[in-house]
Amino acid sequence: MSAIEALGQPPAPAAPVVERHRRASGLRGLSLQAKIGAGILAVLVLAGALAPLIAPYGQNALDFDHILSAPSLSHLMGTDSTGRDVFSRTLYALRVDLAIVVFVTYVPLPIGVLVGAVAGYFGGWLDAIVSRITDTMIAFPFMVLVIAVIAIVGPGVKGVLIGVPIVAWALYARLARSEMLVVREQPFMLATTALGYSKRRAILRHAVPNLMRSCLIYSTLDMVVNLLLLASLAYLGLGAQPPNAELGSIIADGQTTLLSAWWVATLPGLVLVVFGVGAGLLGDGLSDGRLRGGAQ
Amino acid sequence: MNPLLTIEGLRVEFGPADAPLVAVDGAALSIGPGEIVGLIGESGSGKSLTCRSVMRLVPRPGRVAAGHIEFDGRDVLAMTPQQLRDFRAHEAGMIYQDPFSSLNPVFRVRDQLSETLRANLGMGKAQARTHAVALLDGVGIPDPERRALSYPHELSGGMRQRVMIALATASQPRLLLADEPTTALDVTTQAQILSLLTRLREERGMSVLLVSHDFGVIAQVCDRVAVMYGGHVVETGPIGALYDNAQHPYTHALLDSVPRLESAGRATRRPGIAGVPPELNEVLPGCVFKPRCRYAQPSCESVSMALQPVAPGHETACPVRPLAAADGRPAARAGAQT
Repeated sequence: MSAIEALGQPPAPAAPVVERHRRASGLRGLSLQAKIGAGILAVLVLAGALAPLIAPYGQNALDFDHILSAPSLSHLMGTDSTGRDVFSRTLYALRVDLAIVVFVTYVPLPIGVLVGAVAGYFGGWLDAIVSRITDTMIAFPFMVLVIAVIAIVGPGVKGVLIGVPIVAWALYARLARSEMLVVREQPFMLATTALGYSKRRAILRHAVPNLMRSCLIYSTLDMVVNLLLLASLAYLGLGAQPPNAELGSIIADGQTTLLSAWWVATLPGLVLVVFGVGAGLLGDGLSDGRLRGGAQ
Repeated sequence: MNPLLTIEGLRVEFGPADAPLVAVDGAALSIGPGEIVGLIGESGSGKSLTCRSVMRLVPRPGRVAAGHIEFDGRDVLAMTPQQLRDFRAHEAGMIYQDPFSSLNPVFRVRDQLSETLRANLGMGKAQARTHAVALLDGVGIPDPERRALSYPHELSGGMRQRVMIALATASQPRLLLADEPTTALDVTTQAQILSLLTRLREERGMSVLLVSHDFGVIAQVCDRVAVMYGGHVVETGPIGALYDNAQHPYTHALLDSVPRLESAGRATRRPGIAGVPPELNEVLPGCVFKPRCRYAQPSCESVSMALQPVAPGHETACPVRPLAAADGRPAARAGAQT
């Protein structure tokens, strides 16, 4: 047993080498895919945020001398049927659309995560009730509900701002609940009980950070869905009211001249595509990237 | 000396109340202040459940159906949720087998430790952080300031178990429940963790309940041992008495199956124990070990499994005591370690 005592001293040489590079914080820890995605989104967000500074023309500045002129250096995306600069309008539209999309994606997220986390942690009848409510919300046709809200509050972005979060929290609740079912069985959650933490502390401080990953990854996809929803509603004339620009309404305007002046509808549409690609890359990159600090 | 923890007649059941599966049946155990007690048994013998019962952490749908657990004069099974939280936070700590998932992967080591210091001891943020580093130092983690900033996945299994021990003992509990703390570790690390437990016992007078299925581990650190089989404690006594003078045929057979140093190099087979442990739904009359016992007699079907004293501090559940006969056991057993 004396050999044991000798071994008892701290084993300095046996210490593992800490992988320094994995400690990299912020962007350096992300995969290339996620970096490209984040870069694309950053450019779009900046373009939207700085629209009043970088737009060469006002979003509603009419110019009847240059009706439907093709893309050129003075009009990067050409002009529409009333001579408005499509590039400027797209920038302003991006500003409005991104603000709405971020709102309708990230307001319901914490609510849904919280509801799902609590339901998943406690299980039983509470879980049954919450799960049936989320099922109902998700089963309900999304677009129909949003249009119904718009029918009540009137056309404009208000309908989207109210209608989408009413339903969207349910998706996060379901995701967070299923993740919680896994997390609550982990020994470190047993440890929170064994250490005498309150249930509130165990859920909020110890489990929820473990649920956030998949919810944040899902939210990048959700943003694209919401942006497309917004564009569809604007295309139908239920979004921002003229003359204010939204990507969907610019596309709807350009549709009539699609054959003679393709740029009016196509180029703002491309911006939508680029946003989708950017968000998709970010989501993919996050889900298999280095951010995985878990027990795997 | 009054025991710190007493378990009496503990019964843990699963399944329906009218046809329960009994995982622990009438287990009895006591731990004195500053004592390290080993709890040994095969897989499924109920040792982990007994250990978890003390913390009232029997996994659902299992339940403590009967019995009495007393910690320092207080009835653990009758505690209110608030008392229970307080008991878990300050009086008893628990560590367990899997150091790979017992730390939250999203927190740095320092933050996990300071979390418990702030939640349970009411420390401020800065104080907790400083104290966390001191705790890491206390469990023998080299370069604690740097390690404190690591995430759990950056540490080795032994390191994680040390962090876990630091976490469980942060609020200076009087009892540490160690549920197979070394099973997932290699032998060298195992020895270090065990000597850390002994050191903590000496420094703080902390009692330890060490659950293991390894006689080698138990022999290294324990003062007393309880042997479990089929949900019953079949024998308990000081480590030396158990090794030299095992009274229960199961203990004896278990010790016999451990390879001995004397037989090293010789192609000897260790005798196994014939048969398999009882299923949870098997209700055996009398002694649970009877179907596998070499000395079984017809009367074994009607005996009680209650512990009976053999010598001071040494009790066995075998009333037949075939090993008490004069032939005795060779004293050489003391060298039997894995």
